[in-house]
Amino acid sequence: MVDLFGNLSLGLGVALTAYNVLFCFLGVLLGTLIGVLPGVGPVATIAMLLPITISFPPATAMIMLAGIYYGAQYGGSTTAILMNMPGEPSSSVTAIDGYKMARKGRAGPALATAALGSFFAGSVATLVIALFAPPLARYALKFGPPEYFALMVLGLICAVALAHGSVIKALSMVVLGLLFGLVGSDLFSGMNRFTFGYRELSDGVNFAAVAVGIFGIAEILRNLESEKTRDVLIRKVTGLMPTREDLKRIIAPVIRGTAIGSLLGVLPGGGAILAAFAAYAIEKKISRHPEEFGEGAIEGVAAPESANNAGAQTSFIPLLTLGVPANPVMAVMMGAMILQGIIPGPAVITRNPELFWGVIASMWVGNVMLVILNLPLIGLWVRLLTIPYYVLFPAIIAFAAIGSYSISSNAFDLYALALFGGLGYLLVRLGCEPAPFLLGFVLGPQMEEHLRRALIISRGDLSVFLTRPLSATLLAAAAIVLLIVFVPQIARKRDTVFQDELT
Amino acid sequence: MRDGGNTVPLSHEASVSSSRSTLNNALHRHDLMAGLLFIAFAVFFVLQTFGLSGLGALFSEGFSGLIDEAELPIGTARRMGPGFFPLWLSGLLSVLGLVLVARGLRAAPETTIPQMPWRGAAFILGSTIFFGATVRGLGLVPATAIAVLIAAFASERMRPGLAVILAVVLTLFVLAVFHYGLGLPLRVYGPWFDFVLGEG
Repeated sequence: MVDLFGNLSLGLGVALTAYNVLFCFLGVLLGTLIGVLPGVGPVATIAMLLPITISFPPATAMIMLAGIYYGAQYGGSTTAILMNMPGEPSSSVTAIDGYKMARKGRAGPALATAALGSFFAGSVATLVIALFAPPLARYALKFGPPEYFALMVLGLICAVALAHGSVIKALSMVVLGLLFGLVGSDLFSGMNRFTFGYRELSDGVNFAAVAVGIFGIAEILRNLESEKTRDVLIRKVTGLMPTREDLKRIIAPVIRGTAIGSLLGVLPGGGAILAAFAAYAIEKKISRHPEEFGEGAIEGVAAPESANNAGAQTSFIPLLTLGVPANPVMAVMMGAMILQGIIPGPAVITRNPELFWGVIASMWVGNVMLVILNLPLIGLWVRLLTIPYYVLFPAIIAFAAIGSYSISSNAFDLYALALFGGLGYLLVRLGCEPAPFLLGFVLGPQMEEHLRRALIISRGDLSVFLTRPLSATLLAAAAIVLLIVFVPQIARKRDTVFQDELT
Repeated sequence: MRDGGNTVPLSHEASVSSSRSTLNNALHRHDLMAGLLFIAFAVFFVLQTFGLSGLGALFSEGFSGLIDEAELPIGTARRMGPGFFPLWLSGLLSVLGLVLVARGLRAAPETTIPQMPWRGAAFILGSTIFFGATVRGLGLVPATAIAVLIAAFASERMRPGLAVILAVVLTLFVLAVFHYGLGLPLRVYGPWFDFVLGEG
């Protein structure tokens, strides 16, 4: 316990320097902005800003990028409540009851509930990370190459299981991502692989170009298919504060949502979204007035909003302790750490304590800022909602282009951006989700390295993965997950969950 | 395969298709095309792994020659070469691709070519390629302005006046943030202008 407070105060010391507070603020501001604006998500934004953050100290870079992520969760719920258009997928549940509340003239309390719930969840999740990450990291230090390989297999399989649509396609995307991840010089032999003699490719395909292309450019192309004007229901939000009755109703859902979110956020493959759905379903089940759900129940805003914010924050745990990203945003964060020269994994906590604890403490600082940004300034965000898309996307293109270029001042990266933008769009049109691809892409080189090392140690004997208990357990878990998604009945249930999400 | 057939992976597909059966057909056609695409990638990576040396040896020495003479040495499980993991991944990818193709072929062979928004793709991708090709020569300001102008016309709703305003505003913003703010090592006006502006 003494340790915990010592560590947290070390973190606060880092997070509360004027410089870091400024960049934390910029991060959450930008996050809220992209959460509110259509057509640009946190993955593309963080990837575009990677190059800028290279010149920052590592802790500052991570603090700002993390702020963008959880800030986007806040902004996403604003559009969900006011326009029935979730800015982020994890806010789609909030739209169900939040929008109904807004139509009944209770947009203010809905927004306040979302913000207060998120703040509570964010604060608790920060403590959860501080409590559970260090022991997990200590445990992970004992992992050998077979365990890491098995862990990555499990992570990728979970990402496949939680991707939308066809499992086979998601699997194919993982494998394709792994293959593209191998482009560049081979660590063991130094040979260039799949580079066609281009020197520019010997460090691998530029990570930012791949992420921005496949998540940013492809998304713009999709949005251009059907340009819609966005209708804002409420132009002026009045009566922000929830009533005493409201507050009484949201306390328990917020606590339950936070617990569910903190737990599910750790799972690989999009914990925040899953957590929001689970929290909503549970509230509906145990509520004394289930008929109110879907008609503007305040619990239906409080629980999923707390859950997705808690989940967004605890999804940092696997990255910071195991070096395995839980979702595409974490994959980009992993890219950011690698660019900074920090290899994500259990060693981060001991080798870079100021980075680890600084980022964690900054989450709490950022959550305080978000409440201030989102409640009194809500009118400003509402005005931004009406910006038409055709004004926005040229700006996104300009930033994407300059961002990708500035990583290594290399025109080649712009061609990669166009290529992966086009490829990403084509694949999305064919029903293939980009998230598993990106996870495969970041994990490719490490997976190969661990596989090689494991087999060198075992003298080529593949059974090493099954004779070591932990690696066997992880692989068994992966097999079970894979089995579950292929079993027809459960597969059908999974379809309905995701279909609900679409409607 | 149980999955995929009755899923709706993308919202726009749901809105495009009115009846259930066309939707299913559309998805199966997507399976076929996705499968072929994955197989094409797998073949590409396999060919790159073996290289000309490996493929040449395939004809003279047979299969073992292919493995021994591969451009990226395959190695053994005990001592993996740089070609080992890519080769296995490509194999896995082609199997997955074949499954998708098989699933796509089982569906009724109704062919309507899906509408591609060529206009958007051409302007957006063209804009980034233009930026890459000219940013060094033209410099930050002209390259950004022209790239924004090109990108803007990807939308059918764009009007020329608005596009010019956007280009000016964005270029100024980019100049302020990236040049003055972050000190991006890139000339504001590139060497192609030296001839106009005089050596400087």
